[in-house]
Amino acid sequence: MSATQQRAAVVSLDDVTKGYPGTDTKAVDRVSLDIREGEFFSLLGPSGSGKTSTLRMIAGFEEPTQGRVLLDGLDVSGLPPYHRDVNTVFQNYALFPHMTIQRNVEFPMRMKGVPSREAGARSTEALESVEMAEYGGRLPHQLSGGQRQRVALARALVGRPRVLLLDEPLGALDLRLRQQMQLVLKRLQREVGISFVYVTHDQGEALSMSDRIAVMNKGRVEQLGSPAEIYHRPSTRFVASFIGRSNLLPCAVEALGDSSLAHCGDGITVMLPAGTPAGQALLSVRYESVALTEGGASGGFPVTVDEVVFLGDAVEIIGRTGATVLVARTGGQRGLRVQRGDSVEFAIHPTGAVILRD
Amino acid sequence: MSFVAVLAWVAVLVVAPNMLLLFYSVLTNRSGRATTQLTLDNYVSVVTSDVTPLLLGRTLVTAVAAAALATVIAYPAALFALRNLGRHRTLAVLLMVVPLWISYLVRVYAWKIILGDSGVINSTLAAVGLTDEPLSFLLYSRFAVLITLTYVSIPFVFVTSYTALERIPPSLLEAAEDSGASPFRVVRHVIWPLSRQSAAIGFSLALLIAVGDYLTPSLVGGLRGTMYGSLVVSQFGIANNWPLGAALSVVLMVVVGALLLAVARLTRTEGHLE
Repeated sequence: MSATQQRAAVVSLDDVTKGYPGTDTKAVDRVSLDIREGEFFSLLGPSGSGKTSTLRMIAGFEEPTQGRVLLDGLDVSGLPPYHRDVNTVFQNYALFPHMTIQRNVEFPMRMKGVPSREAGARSTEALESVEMAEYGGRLPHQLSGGQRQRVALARALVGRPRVLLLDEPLGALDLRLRQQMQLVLKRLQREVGISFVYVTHDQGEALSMSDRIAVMNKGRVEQLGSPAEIYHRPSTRFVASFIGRSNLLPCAVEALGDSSLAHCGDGITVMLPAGTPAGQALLSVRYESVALTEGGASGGFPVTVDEVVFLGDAVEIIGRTGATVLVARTGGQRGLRVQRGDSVEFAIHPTGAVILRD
Repeated sequence: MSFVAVLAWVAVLVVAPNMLLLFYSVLTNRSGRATTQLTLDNYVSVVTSDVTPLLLGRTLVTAVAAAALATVIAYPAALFALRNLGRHRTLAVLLMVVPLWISYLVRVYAWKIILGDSGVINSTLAAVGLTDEPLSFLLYSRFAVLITLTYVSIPFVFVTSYTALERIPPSLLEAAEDSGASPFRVVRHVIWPLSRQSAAIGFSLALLIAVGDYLTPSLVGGLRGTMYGSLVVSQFGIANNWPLGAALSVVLMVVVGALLLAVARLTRTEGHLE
């Protein structure tokens, strides 16, 4: 284990692969990762990237065709879901329609054989933690989507599982409720200290709530890191374009002793840290790392403005120089004064430029 | 418009015939002709008869047993087909329903061939050497009626159960398993409560078929297998006493109606699927 992994792994995926009969493409392809104690861990990726399959293998609804899933260091292969100390919050809530809210939340404890008085007290407590205690006597169809989601959370948390799995739990909610629920989730996770594994295709959700994110694509983990690492230091073309907005520039990297210089054509050059391998490479530059500079700034290059897009809190300026098109995102007032057809100067902020491995 | 059409339909095909039946049951029979002298004598003779209440009891027991047996067989079969047969389950449903395409008479007659003295069972037993002479209780008995009615009822319970089970979202079953419920408890706490109303409809259909049936008793029941339906038929037929036949029918309808109401009450489930 590396030095950064102070806390024990609650879930470990060891070379996990999931294939389905009749198809060669693998839903999950040799994924290995550790989810630590008390961590908010997100699996982020587009649909079909294997994130839900990964989650279902942790829950026990599906078995890997290869590799192992470990809970607290124990191989749980072949162990059915009802014997795993893991609970899931389903995308469509999956509340039992014939049970009251109270009964729904009590259900996991009834199944565990907890005495009914204690089960009642604990489910009330769980419902209180999601501010749903007064709805205990209602039936699921009498609640709104957001309320049902809170109940589903309470039901999944009431048994204090080692890990809580969340499968796009906010997918069916509208934007405002979703933002509200993000806060609820984050607060709950902090309070109960249980590891959360959160599956989402929404980068905003993943970035705002997670301690760490695994970005998945075509069954593989493209990159694993903190939200800031994922955002600022994307390691592949996929991550750079899936999360945030990036300019991708093919460059030739040249070593210059104590630093490196990338030549990206059309007079664009970017300083890179020393040790960057020389040769052809793809450079990723976040929109907000392209600055609109005053004439004569070092590293600046002239562009012609193709389009100005007003976004409310920022302005995106699409500039062209030769065959290269770059987008700069600026929050300043200056961006508002730029107009189509203007000649301005862009500069690439060295810390915002990353070489991708492809 | 459509409301009026439905009302007319119900009036002509449901209310009118039953009113007519009710009306006939209070008429007086005079040597094969119903006269409009109103009386309750028909009901009195139904209730005070030596045979009728006994036959009613026996018929109810047989019909309930057949419907219950059919449910015990068909409900798990539907569950099994849905959960374990994968893409072959449509074929399974088809195979279960196919008997309905065959004439009722033929299906009942088939049991005569199976259960008879020189039938499939007895000749097999004799060939193997287990029995010296045919087991005579198989045919022309209440046992034969029970088996045949159960067989006839199975497709109805199967179809109603299957459609209800199919409507239960798989995520609910996963949520139950995820909450620590073993497969048996998933059935007990989630699947059964969410499908028992439909299973009860299948049970009720089976009960209705069995309770009024006179063909099966007359073909495979023999004398000991006589059922209430046979009695009703004979009043409308050979005895030519329509008022008594109507009174017998009304009594059966009331008793069975009460029974079905009780079944519906017992299987009621709160809440509903989206």
